[in-house]
Amino acid sequence: MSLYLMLYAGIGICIGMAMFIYQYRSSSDFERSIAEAIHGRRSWHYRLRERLVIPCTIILIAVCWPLALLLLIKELIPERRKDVEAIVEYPFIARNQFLFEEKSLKNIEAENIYSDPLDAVPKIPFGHLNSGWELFKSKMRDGDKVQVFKTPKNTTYGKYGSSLDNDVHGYALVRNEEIIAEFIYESN
Amino acid sequence: MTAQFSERLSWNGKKLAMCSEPLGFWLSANGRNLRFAMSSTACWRGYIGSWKIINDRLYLVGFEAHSEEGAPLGIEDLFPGYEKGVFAHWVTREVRCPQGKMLDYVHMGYASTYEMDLYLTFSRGYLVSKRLETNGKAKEDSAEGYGVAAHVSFPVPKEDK
Repeated sequence: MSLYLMLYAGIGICIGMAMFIYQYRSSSDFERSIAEAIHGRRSWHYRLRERLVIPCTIILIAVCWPLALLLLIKELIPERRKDVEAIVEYPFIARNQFLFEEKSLKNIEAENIYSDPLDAVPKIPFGHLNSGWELFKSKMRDGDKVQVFKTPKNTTYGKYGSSLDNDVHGYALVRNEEIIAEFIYESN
Repeated sequence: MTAQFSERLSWNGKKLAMCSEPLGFWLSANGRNLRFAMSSTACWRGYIGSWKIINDRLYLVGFEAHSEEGAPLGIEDLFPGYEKGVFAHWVTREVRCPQGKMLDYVHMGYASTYEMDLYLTFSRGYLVSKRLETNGKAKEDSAEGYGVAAHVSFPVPKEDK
């Protein structure tokens, strides 16, 4: 019985040592300098805990090495990755349900001329954002309409489902009830 | 991600570190595909803007960056004819200006915490509200003011002449 126990523990210690050697990588001087610059000199109990990690792990592996072996094999075999389908939920922040009144280009441009006592903004529609506005207009075709939108905060948007921090205001270019382009004139 | 250099904000004669990037929106919204050379891991955005609040209006008054080809870029390259300053009418958001001594250093983005945070809220470039939040009392020997503890700098490419 004790022979089997010794054999079991021996195999465990061998596996533990092998795993340690396989995973071992000493930190470079650069890494140590960076760590010291960021965290300062570590306390004695932190350093003690750090030094105890490896011996404790080897003892643990010696006791339950079949499980450790299983985990090691699992780690070595390349995992069959499930392709996560990129879900493009909404290409625009503007949404049909958040569209409001239609506006003419003439009215929009008249409402968005800014002035500044230091003359630090050009007197053209949307001031320093004018080239973005011109790009938006260039996508317009006959029959398209421009509608005001206000998408409320916490609405998810984009490829990765980010959430809006604040309400977002802007103009949407709508063609056959479909949003073709958007122009946002305020950061959020 | 390394802790990042802040933007600079001047307000009522005080120099503040601004841990928000109001120019990012202008760069993306204006349809200009500008790219900047990165010269430090503490400045992934590739530029540092200097801002000033004058009569409750926010102005961009300085800009430092290099193009990917290595040419130095200033405010006049982004806003030709507005070298003295640009009214930031596109800024509708809250910006954070940490103040006092450091409470906890986090080597990522603007995540470090300081004794106080001054929050300034702008609406279409106008300062509409401000509030000061106290986060705690730092140790005597803590560093004063916003800072980045470690970063790697590398040279920007030399401009071809």
